[in-house]
Amino acid sequence: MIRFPNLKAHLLFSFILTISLLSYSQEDTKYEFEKRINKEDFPTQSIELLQPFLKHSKNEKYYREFDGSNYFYELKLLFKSKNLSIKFTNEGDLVDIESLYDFEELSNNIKKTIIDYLDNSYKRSKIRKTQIQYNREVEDDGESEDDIEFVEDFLEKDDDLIIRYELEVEVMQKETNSAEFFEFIFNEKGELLEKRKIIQRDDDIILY
Amino acid sequence: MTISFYISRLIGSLIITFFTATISAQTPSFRWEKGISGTRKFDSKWALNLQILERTRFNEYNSENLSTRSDRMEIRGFLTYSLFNQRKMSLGYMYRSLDPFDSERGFEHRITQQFAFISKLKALRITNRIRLEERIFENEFELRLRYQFSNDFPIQGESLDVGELYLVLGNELVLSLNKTGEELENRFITGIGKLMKNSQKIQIALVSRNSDFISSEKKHILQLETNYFFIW
Repeated sequence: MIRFPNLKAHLLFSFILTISLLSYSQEDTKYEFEKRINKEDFPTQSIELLQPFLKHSKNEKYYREFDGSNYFYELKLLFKSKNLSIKFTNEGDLVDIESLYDFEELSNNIKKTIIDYLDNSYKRSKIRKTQIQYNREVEDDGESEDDIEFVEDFLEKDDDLIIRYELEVEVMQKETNSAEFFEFIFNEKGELLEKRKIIQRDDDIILY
Repeated sequence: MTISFYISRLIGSLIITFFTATISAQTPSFRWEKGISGTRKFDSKWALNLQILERTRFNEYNSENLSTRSDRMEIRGFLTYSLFNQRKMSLGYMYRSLDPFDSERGFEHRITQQFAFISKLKALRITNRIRLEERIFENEFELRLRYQFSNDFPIQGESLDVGELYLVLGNELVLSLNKTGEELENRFITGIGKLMKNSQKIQIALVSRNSDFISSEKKHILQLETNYFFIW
């Protein structure tokens, strides 16, 4: 025989869940996202530009991104044993190429400059991710090279490409001892260009 | 293509969970736990979590007779301190009312010490969680040691964005020690959740609990868990 002595409890939980679902249905539509898409949905001109990579790559994954104000396309792939991210504007123009590295693979000079900066600025630090960001060369006349030249230069490992080091680092602040995550961008001399706090995924679903 | 791939994996996990529960016992005890979890982050070090949960039991162990009843209601609180290198220490308290709507209801006070360490592998977040629990009943005391290994990841991309689904998979070993002996239980967890705005999440999970591995008195529970998480 079925008994319902807990009807009040069921009603209470149903009510609160309904409220939460209602609040969800009213949410704003503007938010950041990275969404997996099919190759067919990638700009045709970008796919043509990417042919030198696609002939020798593995694990290609195509994404559509929105950073809160601009849309992008991004291809992540494994090319010559390197994990690459190749980013395009909404119009299909090449933005930059990022390559995943082990921090230890960087040159000793760069490593020392970056580590000195982190040691001087923070009580502790742990580098979680290292990427080299390749940006298009700026010619002597101040003009930037076009997308085809940019790709050719990358494949030829041209020294004139503008290199930046993008690091995700967990740091412990000196004053408060609090642990925080930041994205640092250093120039090719190891000088800090940008610093941005990274919001970690909530851990309530895994801790409790 | 990606969503269908992960959904098929989830369905596969659910089938395995259901299958392992049903082959190891004639009839598992089916239960449904509903919960609300609110977390207050004071700063990057300290956080307080409060939860309210209720569980409905649909049938007893090895019984095919439906006898729906609320077998527990509880409130829990955890104070968590975050250390460097993604390690977290928590101290928790729980008050549980057993058979709360029956005339002969019971209770449990539970004190929990927890240590968790988290690592990331691209989009995959891997969590190791160790808990020591002191369970205080009216006429009984039990010590319990729990170890959970779990991972969660967004279905699309490397970051979990608003409106996206995520999957959770995990396994927990629970060793209980009391004056009558010890008991070892295994809990396999598989679930799916959705991140909504303002860090709200709704999660549905299926937990297969198998006990007791040490003695011959095996009990099997198949528990559906629906939870609403929010940050305030």
